[in-house]
Amino acid sequence: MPIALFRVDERLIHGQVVVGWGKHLGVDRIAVIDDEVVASPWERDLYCLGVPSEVGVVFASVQDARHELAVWRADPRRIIVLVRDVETLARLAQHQLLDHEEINLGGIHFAPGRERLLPYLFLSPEECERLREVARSGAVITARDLPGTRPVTLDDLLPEE
Amino acid sequence: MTRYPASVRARVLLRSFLIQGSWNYETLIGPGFAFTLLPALRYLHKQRGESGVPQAGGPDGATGETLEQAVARHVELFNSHPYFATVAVGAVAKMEADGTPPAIIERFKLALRGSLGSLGDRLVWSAWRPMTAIIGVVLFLAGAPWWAAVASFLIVYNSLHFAVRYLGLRMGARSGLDLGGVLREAPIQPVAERASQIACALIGLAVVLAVSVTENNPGRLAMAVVAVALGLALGSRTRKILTGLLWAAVAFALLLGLLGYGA
Amino acid sequence: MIHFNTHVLLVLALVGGLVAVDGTSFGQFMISRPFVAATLGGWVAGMPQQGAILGVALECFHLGVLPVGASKQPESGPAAVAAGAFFAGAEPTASILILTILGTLLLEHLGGWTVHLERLINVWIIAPNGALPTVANLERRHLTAIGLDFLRGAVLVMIGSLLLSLVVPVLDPYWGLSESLTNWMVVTFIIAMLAGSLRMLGSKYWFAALGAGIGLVGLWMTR
Repeated sequence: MPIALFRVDERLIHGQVVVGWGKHLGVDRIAVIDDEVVASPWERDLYCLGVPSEVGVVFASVQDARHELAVWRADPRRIIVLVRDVETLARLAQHQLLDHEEINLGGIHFAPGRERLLPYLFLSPEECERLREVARSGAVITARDLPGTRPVTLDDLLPEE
Repeated sequence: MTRYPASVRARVLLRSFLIQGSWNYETLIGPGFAFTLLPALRYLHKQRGESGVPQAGGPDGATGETLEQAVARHVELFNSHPYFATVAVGAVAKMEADGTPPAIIERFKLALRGSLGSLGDRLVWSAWRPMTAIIGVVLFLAGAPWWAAVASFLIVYNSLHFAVRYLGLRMGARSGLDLGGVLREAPIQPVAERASQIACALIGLAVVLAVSVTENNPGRLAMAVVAVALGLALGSRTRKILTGLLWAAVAFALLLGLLGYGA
Repeated sequence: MIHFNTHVLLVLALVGGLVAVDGTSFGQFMISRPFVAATLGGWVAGMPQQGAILGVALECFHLGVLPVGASKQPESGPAAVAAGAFFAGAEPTASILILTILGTLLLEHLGGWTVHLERLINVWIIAPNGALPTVANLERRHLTAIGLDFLRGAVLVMIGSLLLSLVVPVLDPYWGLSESLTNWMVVTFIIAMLAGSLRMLGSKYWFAALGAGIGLVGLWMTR
């Protein structure tokens, strides 16, 4: 079964993902791809708190995830894949690994150097460039915080200068 | 907060009611988090100032950080559910008192941010609040006086609200970094599940009562069946589509009146 | 018709400010829920019972709002206070009720838009020119934002109740459906909203059926 939702969200597991998307898509598992969280037991504990007991959670490093992606796509269970930032997404997307994958930009907040593109999406010029690269490698990128809201395509988000 | 006096704990708890006061699109409730934590930070730094000697592992003993610097770390982006935010405030207050390195506290807040939001969404916004709101609706439809229906909703709703704020602060302050394991033991999911079940039963009851208060005529049962089927079919899109239907119905009725076919 | 003298307007503004801050910035005791807020509005106009009737209908509509924070949500509190105050002073016909409900849904969107605007303004209140708050000014800036939220609610309720009492009485004479048919429409909408919110609560249809059964038995016994 294809990945139900592949999302870039710096909050990783939170209400919009679990209640908003999870219930809407009827997912069975959530995968978090993050090199730092995978190595830290207390952080994994904290992230798991937000997940209902009937939904499983998998943590993977970027390296492992590059192999796991094929396994997840072949698995009959429905899965949400989460990465924290554009950098992680770009590393995953190397060698056309995310070709034809639909990527959802769900929440990247303000930080110095980032510009506000949508109320829930702030990106730096470097991050915009990385996103364009990921899109060129075949991924279909749209921004959308919740299932009920209007999706914004990458072309609308980042008009070519 | 074992190390903080009761007056400081009370001030933090009271301030937590204002934690979303400056909700903004850049730092969200970060400044509110700092505002809530401030009495604890002030107390710690006053203690350090009085003792004069930096103690290893004591309040900022290792870092020699000023109050100004401590506050600066906490005004940046944070978000949470407003009630469960006290869990984060309590845990951070303990870690600040224990002299936990700022980098760890930062990662802790980052990991907690989404989880507390999710817990609150699941327990409060999508189970407890609908359940208690429907209690009010059912009581009113069953003929209770307005004040009794309103008061029942507010009292039942806020009993859990106050419990979460108070117990959350205490739990956070006792567990610090071990919060993940401790909070997992809290009966949040069973309460949410039971509240959803009760809410569903009350919805069934409310539908029957709503039919019973309309005037008695043979069509009302058919109307109720159509309405229930419509709601069940539309699910989470119900509000959007019904609002559209409401517009259409009002436009139709007004047009009839304008054309002179009025009742 | 509600009489908007200075006293009523002042109390409305006060209640409006309170339910506005209850929505986000102070407390979340849920006096901002439509059922409570509309009853409060009705109480200001001297008819809490009639405010509560409107409140029940609005509450059912609000159950369908997805409870996780999207960027712009309809704001229930001030809209319901304005509507409750207007409806309490109006003739309690089904056509006025349905027009008021529609007007409230519009006011909720206006409210949501002002919340959005305020969250943009708060960026500047909290960090003018990007300077994040310090110990010296954190509390003042934070409380300023809450004060602004209160003012927003006060103004919104006054504008909302005036708008409703200007527009609804003008439209109502053109209402072309019978009172009993209109009554039906209102109840149909309420029931559909109630049934629609079962999905959000995890689709526990057996529990809903159980509740309906209890209701039927109760009605039969009290007949």
